[in-house]
Amino acid sequence: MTDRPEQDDLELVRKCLSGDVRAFEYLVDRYQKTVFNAALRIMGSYQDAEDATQSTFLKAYENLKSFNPKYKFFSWLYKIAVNESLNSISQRKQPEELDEDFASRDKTPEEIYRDLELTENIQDALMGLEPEYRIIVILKHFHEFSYKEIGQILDLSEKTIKSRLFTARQLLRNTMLRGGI
Amino acid sequence: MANERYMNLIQQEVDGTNTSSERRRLREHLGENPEAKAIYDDLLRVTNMLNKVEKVDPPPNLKKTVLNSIQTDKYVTKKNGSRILGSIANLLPARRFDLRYAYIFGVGLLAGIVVYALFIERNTSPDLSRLYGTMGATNASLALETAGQLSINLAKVQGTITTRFAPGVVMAELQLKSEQPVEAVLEFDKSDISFSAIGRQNNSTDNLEIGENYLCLTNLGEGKYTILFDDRTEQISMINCKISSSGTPIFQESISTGKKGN
Repeated sequence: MTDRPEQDDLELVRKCLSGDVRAFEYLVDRYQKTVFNAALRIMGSYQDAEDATQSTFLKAYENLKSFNPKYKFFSWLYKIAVNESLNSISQRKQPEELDEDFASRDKTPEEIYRDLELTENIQDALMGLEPEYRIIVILKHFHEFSYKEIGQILDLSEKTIKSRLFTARQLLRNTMLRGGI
Repeated sequence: MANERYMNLIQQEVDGTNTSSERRRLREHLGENPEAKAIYDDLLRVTNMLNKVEKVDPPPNLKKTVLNSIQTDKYVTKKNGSRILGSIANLLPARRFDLRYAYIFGVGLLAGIVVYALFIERNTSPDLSRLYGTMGATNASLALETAGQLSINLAKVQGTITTRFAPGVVMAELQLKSEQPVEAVLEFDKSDISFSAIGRQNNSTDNLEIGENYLCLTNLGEGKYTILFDDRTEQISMINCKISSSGTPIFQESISTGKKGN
C-alpha cells in the first residue's frame, strides 16, 4: 500500500475525482464504522445496517461530483446514510429485533451481558420512537453532531431539531422508566 | 410545569452547551422548582445511558465489498485507448464491471497481435500502428526488450515480475503463486508511464484496482498478469513493486522500465 499522510476529507474527495480510487478507500476506512453504527441504530438490524452502509458509500462515490465542498463531507455522507436507512425501513414490513452479537469480546462475560442488556434495552426504546425522532437522538448522542450539523443533514432548522430532540428525550425517558431501565 | 425557556436551558445543560450565566440561572430555577429538577434528572439519566452504548465494529469485509462495487475508472480521465475499450464495454450488458472485461478483451486482442508479431511475423518488424488506441506508434517497429526481472521466493508467495519495453510501450508481467490472498501493488510515476491495459491468464481468484499512479491486484492461487503502460517520456523510470499479506508488507523492490529513446 502507498503510505499516505493523514489528509482532510476535501483533499481526498478532490483526489478521488481526479481518478485516485485509493483516496476513496481512505474515506471508506475513515467513515465505515460511524456510518455503519448510525445505520445500525436507526434500523436495529446488523444485516440491514451492512447493506445500508454499502449503498451509502456506493451512492457517495457515484454522486461525488455533486458534493458541495462548502459543506462538511461527513455531513453529506451521513445525509445519504440516513436516507438509505429510512428507505430500508420504509420497505421493511415488520420491525426487527436488534441483533445481539455486537458486544466487544475483550470484556468479561458479566460485562458483556450487562452491556448487551443495556444496549438491547436502549435500542428497544429507540425503536419505539418514530424514525424522525430516532434519527436525531442517534446523530446527537452516538455521533455527537451539533444542532446545526444535524439540521444540515436532515434539512431542518436548528429550532426544529432542538424541539424534536427534547420530545424524543422525553419519550425515551417515559419508555425507559416504564421498562425499569 | 417548567416553562419553555427553562426546558431549553435544561436541554442545553444536558448537552453541555450552556454558558456559565445560563447554568447559574438554571441551577437557581431547578432549586426552586422540583418538577423541573425531576425532568432534568431524568433527561440526564437518559443521556448518560445513551452515551454508554458502544460503537460496534462493522463487518470485516465491508470495505472490500464497497470497493468491489464501485466503478473504479469512473473518474479516471479516458485516453484514446480507454475510449476504444469503453466503446467495447458499452456493448456489454453489465456496465459496472464492463471496463475490466473490456480491458481483458482488449489485452487478449493485443496479446494475439503481439504473439503473431513475435512468432509468426518474426522477420517483418510489425508496425505498432496496427495495435489499438494509444498503443500504436506509427512507423515504430515492435522489438520488446527485457528491462528487468525480480524473483519472489517467499513462504507465502512465489513468482516473478518482468518488465519489457518497446518504443512507446512498457510491459510488466507478473507471475504469482500464493495459497493465501496476497496484495500486489505496482506504483509508478504517472508523468513517466500510464496504465493502458491488463490481461489475466489465471486459475486464481483476484481483484483489481487501478489508480492514476498505481495498480493493485489481489492474487489467490496461480495468476499470470500482463500489464501494459503507455510510455509518456521515453525516459528510464522505476516501478515500485510491493506485496503484502493480510496487510503486512512481505516484499518490496523496484524494477526498471528500461532504457529507451535510442
